[in-house]
Amino acid sequence: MKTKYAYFFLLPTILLLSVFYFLPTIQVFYFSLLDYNVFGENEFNGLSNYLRLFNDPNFWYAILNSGIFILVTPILMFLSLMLALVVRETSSTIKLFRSIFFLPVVTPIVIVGIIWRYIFSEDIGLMNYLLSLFSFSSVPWLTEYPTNLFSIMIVTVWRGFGYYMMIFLAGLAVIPKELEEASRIDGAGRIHRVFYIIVPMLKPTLILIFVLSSTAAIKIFTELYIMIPGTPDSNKTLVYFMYKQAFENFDFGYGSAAGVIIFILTMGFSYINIKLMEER
Amino acid sequence: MRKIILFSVILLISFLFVSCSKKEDKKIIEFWTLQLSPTFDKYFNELIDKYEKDHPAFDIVWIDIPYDAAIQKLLASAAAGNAPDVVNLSSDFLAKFAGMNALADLSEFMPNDSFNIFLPNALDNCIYNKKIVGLPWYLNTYVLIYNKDFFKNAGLTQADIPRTFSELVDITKKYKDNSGKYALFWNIGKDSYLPMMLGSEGVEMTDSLMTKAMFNSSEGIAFIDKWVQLYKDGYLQSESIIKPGSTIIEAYQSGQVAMVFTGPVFLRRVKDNALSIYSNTDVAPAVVGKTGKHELAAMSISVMNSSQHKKEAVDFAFYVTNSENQIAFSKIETTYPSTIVALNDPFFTIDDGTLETKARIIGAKELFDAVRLRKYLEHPQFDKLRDAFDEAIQKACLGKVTTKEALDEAADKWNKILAHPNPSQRDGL
Repeated sequence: MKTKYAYFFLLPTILLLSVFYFLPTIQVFYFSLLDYNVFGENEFNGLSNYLRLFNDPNFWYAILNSGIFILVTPILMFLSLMLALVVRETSSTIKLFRSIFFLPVVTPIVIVGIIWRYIFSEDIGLMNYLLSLFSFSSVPWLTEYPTNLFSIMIVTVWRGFGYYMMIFLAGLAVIPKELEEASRIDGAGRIHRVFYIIVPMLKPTLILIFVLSSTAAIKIFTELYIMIPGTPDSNKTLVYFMYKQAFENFDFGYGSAAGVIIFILTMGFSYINIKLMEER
Repeated sequence: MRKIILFSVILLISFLFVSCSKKEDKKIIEFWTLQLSPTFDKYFNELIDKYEKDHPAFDIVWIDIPYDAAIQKLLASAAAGNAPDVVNLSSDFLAKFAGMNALADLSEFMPNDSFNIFLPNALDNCIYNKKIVGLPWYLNTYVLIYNKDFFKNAGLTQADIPRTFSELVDITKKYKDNSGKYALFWNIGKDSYLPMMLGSEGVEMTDSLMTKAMFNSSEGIAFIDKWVQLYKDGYLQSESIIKPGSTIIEAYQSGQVAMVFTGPVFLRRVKDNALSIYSNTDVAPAVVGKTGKHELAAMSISVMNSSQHKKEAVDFAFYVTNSENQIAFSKIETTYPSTIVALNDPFFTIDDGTLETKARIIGAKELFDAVRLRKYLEHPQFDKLRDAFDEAIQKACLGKVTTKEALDEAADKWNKILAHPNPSQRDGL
């Protein structure tokens, strides 16, 4: 009897997920097998879109760039863990810093992109101005590859560390204080406590952040769209490649094929997470 | 509990019936425009009211959409089966949708002489594969907007105002050498203006049948190389190779550059955002190449092939683009009408001494020499052609290859695309 009511209450969520998630996913798989024409008849062309994809140098560049982008993951994990360790105290000053560190997370991404585009502007931007004060020459933050990719990574780290810091704080909150106290009494220094007590206890949190951060890195788009839209296609990542094929070139079948590949890659990372959890 | 659930379901179903009830038996024509609201709200409301009074069987539903989201909204509506009947398109959008056979051939609905009211070069902008897929609406052309003060401070005079692209190259160098600042912002990488400059210089991008790229001729290479060298020698902003043309006016109104080459309509933006820059601004005729021709920027109105009321939609499109309505439109914002009669209105010839009028008069005269220089827009894969060219210029500017190597590589890509318009027949592009 109670189970019947449970399904009734789950129904709206299942309907929403089906309409806005599962069905579109199945549609994308289907569209990837078509020469899709919004204004006319579609033509089934089997795996042609995938063959084109594997022969497209820009697709492989996109995979390479997405792979490079995953480098933000260890940087983010390290930075946000360190910050979480600093702000885990409960004083009002520390609480203020927590809010400050979280501000980039809640700032709209488009605003972030526009402001950082000006900061990285090679002729009038703050970064090159600061470099000039120390007699360094200008850096082509936005125009040259792969420097422009690293500029986007800086923005991603800046925007993301507050978010992962909060997740780490939640993880740190469940570590028994007695463990740390005991290790301090036994003579363990701060660094030893972090690496031998805290980090092992944070393993589930670390895995979660690794998966979240790496899948977000694969799916990076808005920052590139705002900051370096005019750079060559070989400078872009997978989701940008997919967007361009579908919404700029109107090649929806081809874009859908790219979408399927992105889906497979992100599923791969989720699978790694499941395997790591099983080992635990 | 059961009674409450039953009552809620009955209420929901009855709401659905009410909302789906039959409306009045009027034909609805949906009309989409690009980013004209709220400036033109009063104009369109009056225009539509008048049309509906004269055509009581019709309801015109006007929807204004943001320019940046236009493609996505149009595609989404087309995929959902509720695309508009009449739609305002820019040159690039028109080319794209024409290539996808999304637009009706208007000559099937109106006699040929109906189109004679338009400027021939403007109407030419709307002809793709011999079909008239749109009516030219409001036009824009290019003028040189420059800061008199900056020029004076750099030791330059009125006589130094460039008229040709060669003079523009020289003055760009002279200005920076004298002042240490950039003379102009010129997008040569993304959505590059270079193809239009080549066209104005008399260098064709392709042969007449669009089967072979021709921009890598010795003349084309020599011309492009001047601009590549300007960039490499630091006379153009670093981001000239990645910023699109839509950001041109930002550089001018923020005082970064002394001149820009853009439409007179942007003077209003300078006036609103940077009054001090505006007060030192003057305008000059467009910079042109050897042919004296320059690019015509045309907005058009098209009828979608999916429209259920094509004949009526075409009639409405002609109504919106008639001379009377176009003159009224141009008086609100500095644009130009596309009909010959409207362009001869005193509004475009009488100078009242203001900067905007001066720009308007200069632009109006230039319209007769403005043409679609980017003929490759007719190709269904024109965006890939454009990308291949832009990326070649970017490579050359960054010193990865010489200008000749870059243009030869781009020409190879163009030849592949031109030989196989269908992407699935072609590798990698």
